[in-house]
Amino acid sequence: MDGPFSQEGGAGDAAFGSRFSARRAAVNDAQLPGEGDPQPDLADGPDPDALLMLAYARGEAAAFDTLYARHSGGSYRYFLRSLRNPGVAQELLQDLWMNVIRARDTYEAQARFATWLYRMAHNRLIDHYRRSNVVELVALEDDEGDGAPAQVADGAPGPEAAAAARQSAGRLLQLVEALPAAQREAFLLQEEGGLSLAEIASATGAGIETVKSRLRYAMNRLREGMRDFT
Amino acid sequence: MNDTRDPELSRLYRDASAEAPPAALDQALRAAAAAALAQPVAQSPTPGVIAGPARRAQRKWGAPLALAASVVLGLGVVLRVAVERPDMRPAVAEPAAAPAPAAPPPAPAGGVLVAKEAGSNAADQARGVAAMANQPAQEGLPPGIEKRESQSSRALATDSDQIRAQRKIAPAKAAAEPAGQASPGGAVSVLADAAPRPAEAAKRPAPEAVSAATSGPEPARTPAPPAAPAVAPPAPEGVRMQRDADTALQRISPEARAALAARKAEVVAAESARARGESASAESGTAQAEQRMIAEERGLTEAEWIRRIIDLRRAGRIADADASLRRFVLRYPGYVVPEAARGR
Repeated sequence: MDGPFSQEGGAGDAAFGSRFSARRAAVNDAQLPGEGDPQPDLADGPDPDALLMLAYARGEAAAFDTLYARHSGGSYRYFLRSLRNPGVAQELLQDLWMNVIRARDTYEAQARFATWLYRMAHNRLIDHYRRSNVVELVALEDDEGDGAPAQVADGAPGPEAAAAARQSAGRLLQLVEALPAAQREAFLLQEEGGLSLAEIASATGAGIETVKSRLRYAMNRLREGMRDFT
Repeated sequence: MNDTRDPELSRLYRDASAEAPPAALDQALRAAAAAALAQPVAQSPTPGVIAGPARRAQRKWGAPLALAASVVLGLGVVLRVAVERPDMRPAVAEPAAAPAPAAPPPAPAGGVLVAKEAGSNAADQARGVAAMANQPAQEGLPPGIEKRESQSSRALATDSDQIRAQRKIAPAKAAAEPAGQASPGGAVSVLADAAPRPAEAAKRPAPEAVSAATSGPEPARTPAPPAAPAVAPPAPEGVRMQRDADTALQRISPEARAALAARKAEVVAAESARARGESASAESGTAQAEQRMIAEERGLTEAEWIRRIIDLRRAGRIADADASLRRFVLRYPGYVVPEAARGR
């Protein structure tokens, strides 16, 4: 399973655990009062990803490997689901992480690392929309309502002999990709990035209520589309 | 929050979502991250956690420090301009430009006297200065040359003029002096500032110059304009001679030039004082004679008054006869004045 913060960390997570207590005091200094950014998770303790980023900024290359292993899959799928083009998704993923590498000296743990990372991903996606497809950008910024149900052909892909679980998974991905851009992004940030409502709002520049509304509409659509499969 | 999260949908999505970036891309990004660490980066001495507060402190104090620096620099510039700008300093006549051992004690005071009288007796000063400076080539000099000579010889420059002259000495030398000639006192270069348009100064008539000098707000700066009209229209021979004299004056030593300037200032003062005395005595004598004539005319009849006017004309006192005739006509408007009394 490749969900966010799942098994991708591997040995890196173990190494992180051993370093965590030793760096707690230093990171407490890094927990600066927010300047408008919500910090819902920082109140519970230091963000482990922020620790890794700071360790990388101090020169520990292994910290970056761990960080990349934890977030590369989610960020790649965020691009992939949004663009439906693996090549472009890989290109944007490379840009995103190169920005992370370049920003190591200016990084400040003012919010969760995931929030910071997906905010950059959102901005990169917006840039891509602006350069390639204005219609997609309008759709992303459009806070549409429930609207029509997702236009997914029932049982279109997949052979008849495929397993029911596989069919339902494929159906779900089709439904996700068929969501309106704003709802899809909110759903992906929640599922792939593990962001909360406030963090999604911070990453996308939308209000919390707006994000909540988008997620509610997205969930309703997905439930409606998956009703026959569950 | 229940309507924004569906555990079953999340589980299904995680089961379905298994894509990962290519391994080659992973390797490339990891290599780029390691290479970035290997490169020397200009960063703060305490990176990471410590760098954050340092940047905030820099941000916090950067703007006030920049503002304070701007204010200090601005005040410095304003104060410097105020100190160096001549108009903002009181016009005080400087003593002799250089120590003048040959000059008598009134020499420094002479400069002050001339400066004080510059407003009221500009024409007298111009005449005196012209007489002193241009004795060999007085007739016919261009106004610029005359002004330059008068400025250099009078030692009338005030404190502010001196400062201005020192500032402009380089361009003045380039414009007015032949190459290789020094201008030690800086008084010669004052011409560049005091006479920017010599042609206009030459065209201006003398009374106008005098009135301008008397009404000017800066007495120390007014002596320059009246000097120009004191000269006659330019003549080529006079110009050449004046240039020769000017060149000779520039070649003498600074001490000798200062002594000459002091001497000229003294002569100017004496000349102006004598002229004032003469004019005052002449005016007082003329007024007394006129009062005497008026008193005599009061006791005369019309015929006797007319005869007296005719006698004045015959004696050659035409001005007195005309003045008496004007008073007669005013007193007897209907009287037919004979031709002999009219002087026709």
